[in-house]
Amino acid sequence: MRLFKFWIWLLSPPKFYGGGGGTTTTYQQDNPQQQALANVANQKYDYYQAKYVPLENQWMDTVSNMNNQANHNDVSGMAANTLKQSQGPQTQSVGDSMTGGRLQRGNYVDMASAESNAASNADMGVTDRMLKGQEGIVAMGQGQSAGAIGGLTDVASQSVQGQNTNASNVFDRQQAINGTYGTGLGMAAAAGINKYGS
Amino acid sequence: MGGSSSNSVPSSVDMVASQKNADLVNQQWADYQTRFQPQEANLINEVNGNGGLQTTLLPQALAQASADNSNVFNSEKNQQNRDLSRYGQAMNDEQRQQQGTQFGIAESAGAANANNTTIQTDQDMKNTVMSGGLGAASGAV
Repeated sequence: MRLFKFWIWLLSPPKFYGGGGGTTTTYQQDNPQQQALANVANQKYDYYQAKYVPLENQWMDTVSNMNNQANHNDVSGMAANTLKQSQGPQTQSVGDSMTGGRLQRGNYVDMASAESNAASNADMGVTDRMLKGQEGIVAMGQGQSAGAIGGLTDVASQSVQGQNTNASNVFDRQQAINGTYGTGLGMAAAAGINKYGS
Repeated sequence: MGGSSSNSVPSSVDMVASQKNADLVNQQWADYQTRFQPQEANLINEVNGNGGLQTTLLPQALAQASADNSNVFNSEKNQQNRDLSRYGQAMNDEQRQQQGTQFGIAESAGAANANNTTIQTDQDMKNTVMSGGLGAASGAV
């Protein structure tokens, strides 16, 4: 019985000094180092409020508008046009026309299919870009650094590269007589070949 | 602890630094709650569409994919007609009907493919956000 009472005493809430019993409360004085650190921390926070917060707010506004219709239209248009451009001009020469190089219906259907793929990939790239931006904001809130966000041009060109290869393979088979050009070389190479190639 | 609030600290005791740090912690927390928590809540909401099966952005993405698909097929069909007309050629009714059928079939396949790709990508994005940004955030809370 006595042992039981002992354990009850141990489990009861401890009564610290200053708990309302009129005992003396002690305070730890700040030493100079603590004062200096507190001053620096406050100055850092003031600087952060003045310089970084406006930028962060601006970035949040930007991210919240990333998924807007205009960006989708821009990037799907860029993807489709880039893909089309990389396949050569529609009427490169009369010879192409006479040999049916550009006038076979299959070309246009294949091209449209490839453009559709590129456009839908690019569209999802726009949405993904916004989500990554939001993830970055969450990371900023957690005190972590935000990841880099690619531009709309990157989103469009990345979505084109895969489709470019697919469409170009189909196109090249039909254009074998005119020679094939390499695929997957990117927009610059394709544009250069279109301009200076045979 | 009774009497531990700053108001009751005797003036002879220097606790300026401690008070500054305490204020700083409160300000940072308030700043986080005001500016960042709504963004987190928004992201959590976005990846929890349709009972957590998809993002709330999927319907818009599907509509966009469908619209883009129609646009590019119309564009290519018109391009074919323009190319023909540049060389003084034009399709007869039968050829035009055949062209419409070919493009129509391919457009349907393209729409299905675009929708499937969009849904799959939506899933991937949702999973990436949940295991990436939000995962890191929940670990830090």
